[in-house]
Amino acid sequence: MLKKYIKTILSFILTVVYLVSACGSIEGPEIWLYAGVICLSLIGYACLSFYYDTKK
Amino acid sequence: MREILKSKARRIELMMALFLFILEGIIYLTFRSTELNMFRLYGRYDWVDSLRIYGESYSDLLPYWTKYSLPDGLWLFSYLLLIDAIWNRFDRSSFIWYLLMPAVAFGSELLQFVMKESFTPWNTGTYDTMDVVCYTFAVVFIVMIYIFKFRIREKLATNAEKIY
Repeated sequence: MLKKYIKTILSFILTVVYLVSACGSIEGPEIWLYAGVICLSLIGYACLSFYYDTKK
Repeated sequence: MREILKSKARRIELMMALFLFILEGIIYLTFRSTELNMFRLYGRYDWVDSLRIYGESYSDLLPYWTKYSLPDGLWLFSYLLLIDAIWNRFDRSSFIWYLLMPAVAFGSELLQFVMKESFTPWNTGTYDTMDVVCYTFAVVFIVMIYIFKFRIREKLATNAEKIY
């Protein structure tokens, strides 16, 4: 059985990759601006998720 | 990671996802405007120029939606396949990952529909019903695959019970 945290990390990496690829398909000033905001939000989500899981 | 690759169904999902993701990228690089952000990264390569020259001769033959909507559906479907390969189950821990990208996809279309004009100073795209149709198909296909896998799992469990 794959540990839940490994699955979460894999899903997180995958989501960032796909969101960055989606940023590539639009016209914008700086792709890294989108990528930065998205990554920070996802890191925030992952941290909160781990926090609540360990608290249980 | 080894466990993901061990299951045949997961291996098929991984390969399908990779293929669809590459296909989506090729459609974008071949037929779409060079103003897109991805061309900052790939625009300098000769093979992209060759691809675009090659694609020009076929551009008129392909329907509009295969160039402008299909890649979006392939992108979403490929993501959902990978998430399904990782989690294998829609439950309390995994639902956020299953729902995140469909929410981004449908949400962006909804915003484009509501705002009519771009909601940022630069062009982030325009609403297209075919985009929504392609996203919907991606979700429907992943639900079908999920149900199919679920039924096989149930059947295997029943067979195992019969044996013991």
